[in-house]
Amino acid sequence: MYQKKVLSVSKKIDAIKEFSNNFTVLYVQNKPDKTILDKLETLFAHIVVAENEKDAIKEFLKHDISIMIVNLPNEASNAFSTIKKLKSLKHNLFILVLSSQEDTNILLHCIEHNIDGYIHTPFTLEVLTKEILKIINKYKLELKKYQSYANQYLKLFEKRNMISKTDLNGTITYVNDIFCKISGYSKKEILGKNHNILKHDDNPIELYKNLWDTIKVKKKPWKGLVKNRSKFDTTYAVETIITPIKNLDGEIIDFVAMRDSLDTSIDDKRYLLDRIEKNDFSILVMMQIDEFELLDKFYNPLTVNQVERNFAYNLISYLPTTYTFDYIYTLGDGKFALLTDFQSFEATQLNIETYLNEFVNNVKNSTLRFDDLEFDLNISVSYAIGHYMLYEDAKAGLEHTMEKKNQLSFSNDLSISVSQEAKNNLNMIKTVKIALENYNIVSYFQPIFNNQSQMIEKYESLVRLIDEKGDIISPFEFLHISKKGNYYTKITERVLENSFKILHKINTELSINISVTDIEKTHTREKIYWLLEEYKKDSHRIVFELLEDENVNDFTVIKDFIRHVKQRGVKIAIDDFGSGYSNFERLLEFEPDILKIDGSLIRNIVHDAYSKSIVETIVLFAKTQNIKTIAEYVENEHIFNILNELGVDYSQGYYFGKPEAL
Amino acid sequence: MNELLYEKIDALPPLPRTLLELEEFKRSSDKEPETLLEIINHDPLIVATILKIANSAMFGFKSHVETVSRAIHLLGINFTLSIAFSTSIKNTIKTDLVAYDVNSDAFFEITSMSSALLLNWVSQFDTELKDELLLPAFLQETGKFLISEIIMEQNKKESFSHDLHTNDDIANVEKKYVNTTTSEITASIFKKWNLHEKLINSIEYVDKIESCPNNYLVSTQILNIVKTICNIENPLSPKSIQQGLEKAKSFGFNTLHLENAIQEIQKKLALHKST
Repeated sequence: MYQKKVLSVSKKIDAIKEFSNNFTVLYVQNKPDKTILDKLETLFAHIVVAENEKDAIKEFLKHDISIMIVNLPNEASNAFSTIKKLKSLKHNLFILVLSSQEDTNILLHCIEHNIDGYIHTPFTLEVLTKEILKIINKYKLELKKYQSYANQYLKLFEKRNMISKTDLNGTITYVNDIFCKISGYSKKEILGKNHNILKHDDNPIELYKNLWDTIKVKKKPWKGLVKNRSKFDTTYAVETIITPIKNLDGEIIDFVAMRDSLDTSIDDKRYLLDRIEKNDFSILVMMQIDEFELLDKFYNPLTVNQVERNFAYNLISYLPTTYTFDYIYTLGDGKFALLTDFQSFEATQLNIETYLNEFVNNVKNSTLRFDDLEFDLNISVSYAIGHYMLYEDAKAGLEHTMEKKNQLSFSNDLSISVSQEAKNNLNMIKTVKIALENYNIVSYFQPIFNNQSQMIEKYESLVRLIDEKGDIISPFEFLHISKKGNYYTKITERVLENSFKILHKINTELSINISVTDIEKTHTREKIYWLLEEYKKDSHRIVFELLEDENVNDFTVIKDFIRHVKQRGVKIAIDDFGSGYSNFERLLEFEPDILKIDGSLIRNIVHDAYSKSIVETIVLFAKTQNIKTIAEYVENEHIFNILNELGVDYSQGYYFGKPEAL
Repeated sequence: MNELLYEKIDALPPLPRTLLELEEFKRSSDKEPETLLEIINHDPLIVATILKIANSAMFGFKSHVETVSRAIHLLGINFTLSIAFSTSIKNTIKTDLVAYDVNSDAFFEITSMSSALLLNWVSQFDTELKDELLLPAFLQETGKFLISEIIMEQNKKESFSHDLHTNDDIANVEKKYVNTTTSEITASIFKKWNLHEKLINSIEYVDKIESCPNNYLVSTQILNIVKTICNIENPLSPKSIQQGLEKAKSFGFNTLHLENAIQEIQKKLALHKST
């Protein structure tokens, strides 16, 4: 299939010369023959001449030889052993043998050693060209085979990586599909353009200097984190390897740039951390789309993703025009960050807080529209300034901002207080554990007065913790944290035990706090049933104060419990009524005997007419339902007098007595 | 060229000794602001930079931040640490006063000494003034780092050193070589950094009392005397003390107070050395 047409000798010579430029020929001449060397020189640009076999090996190791031409000496066996040796070093070495002897043995040797061509000397240039052309065609075939392997490897790479190729002038000559996907350009748009089109101003000038110096001057691969600009003016940061591709002479033909496409999604955070590290001091602004988890719940992931992308795209335009942050870092789950170096911002003389407040308001007053959908998004913003722990501070600050429902907060050192809090919590859990072990979870009792008879008619049992120093800790400090350490149930059960025990010491009713969460726990429930059985004759003196909770999982469990204990004469009180989650409808389901009016209403009752009228309503309602009322936080006579006037049945508070050990 | 140099100064570097203590602080689990304050309060270079940043328009704090503890409170521990660790300027400014043949530790001693002397002396007759001048006394030699840089850049160290040794008035020598003095250069930097006026004004004229406005004259005279006695060449030497006392007399101060204060400092130093 090659060279079917008969070419003229000169054309054949041209064809050989065109190709032979790419390789080096080793000529082992053994006996000097000027005519042969002349002929070879007309065909090959690069000839290395070796005088004998020994010399040949030396030269072979020095150069990258593609074709070896051996003029056989009279004693040829040595020559063939050299050929064998070199072939074993380079299996695709092409060999042409010249011989003046008409010896069939030599021909046999040639076949045995898989020699690619054989010419009897003396010979004409025409014979030589014909033979060389044969070899070159074989060489080409070999090259194709190799390229096909290389292509298969390349395809594997292309599936995973973002690849582009530029020529020496920086003109883009090749891009793969992943490149198009991430950069946003089609092949048609980008091929032939200068690579500058992707250049991002954020990359420091030194980065480019170092890059070009490495690949162009040192001719070595360069690796680094580069920020590129996409067609849509968004930015992507990618770990990039750029390799100069050299020809056989070591000259650069083009540059191939390869980036791992899998990294691009998480790159923003890494890029952010990288920039913080490089800046002396930075301003880091971190923000979160408010109620993003709701968005996540109500829309499909595609839409949510689009919301995020559109929002990020518009963010720049929400920033006040007085200063521009040039890049939005997307941190996922509706979180974004902005970063600038401290000095640049400081030079503007702008006040950071004013600037960011304006930004927050711009977002608030904007509407995000796409695909017939409209979103009124709000953001919470946290900003930190500095270097050390900057990301941690801003992040802790963002959580803090969301928790406190602020819109903007300055978050320096927030990571310290967060870790301090975690440490305190840990210490408290330890304290709880020790207190449980040493029976230092104790109960205090506060008297409850009948407003009419002015007698103590009940006590409320209140939990306290005595720490290792003997200090008395209130439940606000340890009860909530105990839930995290799974000690909560143990505390409840300890409280129940302590409280029931005190029934022997008092002859009034005893009020014990239990939460809906307690009742939902089978173990706690059974403990209560057991205690009621144990103290059967006193169970009618027990009152359970229920604290409502927004997370009631199964209301039938609660109702069953109430029915069960009521059968044993237990009364039910609703704690903190008039605040939080309590409502009249739910109230009836609890079938309470007593309502404890929320302390915040009582405390304000002297000065706040609103509180007073709520209390009045509750009392009125309770009376018609035949429910008794207890007022908490009765701190002085003024309060007591008003309550009495309103017809509240019982009072509890410092005016009558503190919680104490009995 | 002098202009150029101090326009370049964004932040002053910490002294090596401070760096060690800061590293330790960074590693500790309890990061109390008081501990950090204790560390940086000994380093005039960091104190100056922290005050600069805290007074930046960017924060817009309602009043001038005049004390280091308020600055730490406002900027936070992490940022203060970052400032203290900042290496940006290390390449331009070295923490040794090479041109003055003084290393950073010696500089450290001299600034502490100056503060102690001022505290001891001025509190004997004006406690309010003492509070006002403590920071200026501590910071007034900061500009020497820049002058040292300039001298080194111009390769004039040898003749500069020679002149310093043969001349009692350091400011005069500085003027001859860089056409400005430590107090002027310090005041210029602080002015650029928007530090509070009182601090700048009391430092600015220390090396040219003759042109000092009346309302700062007493402060400037006090700082000059402190600087004379705790001068960077021969701090607390008999000669320096003599000169300081003479100045105090000519300015009309009660020299007894000053003598007492010097004795106190010397006692403390002796005690410090013996332990």
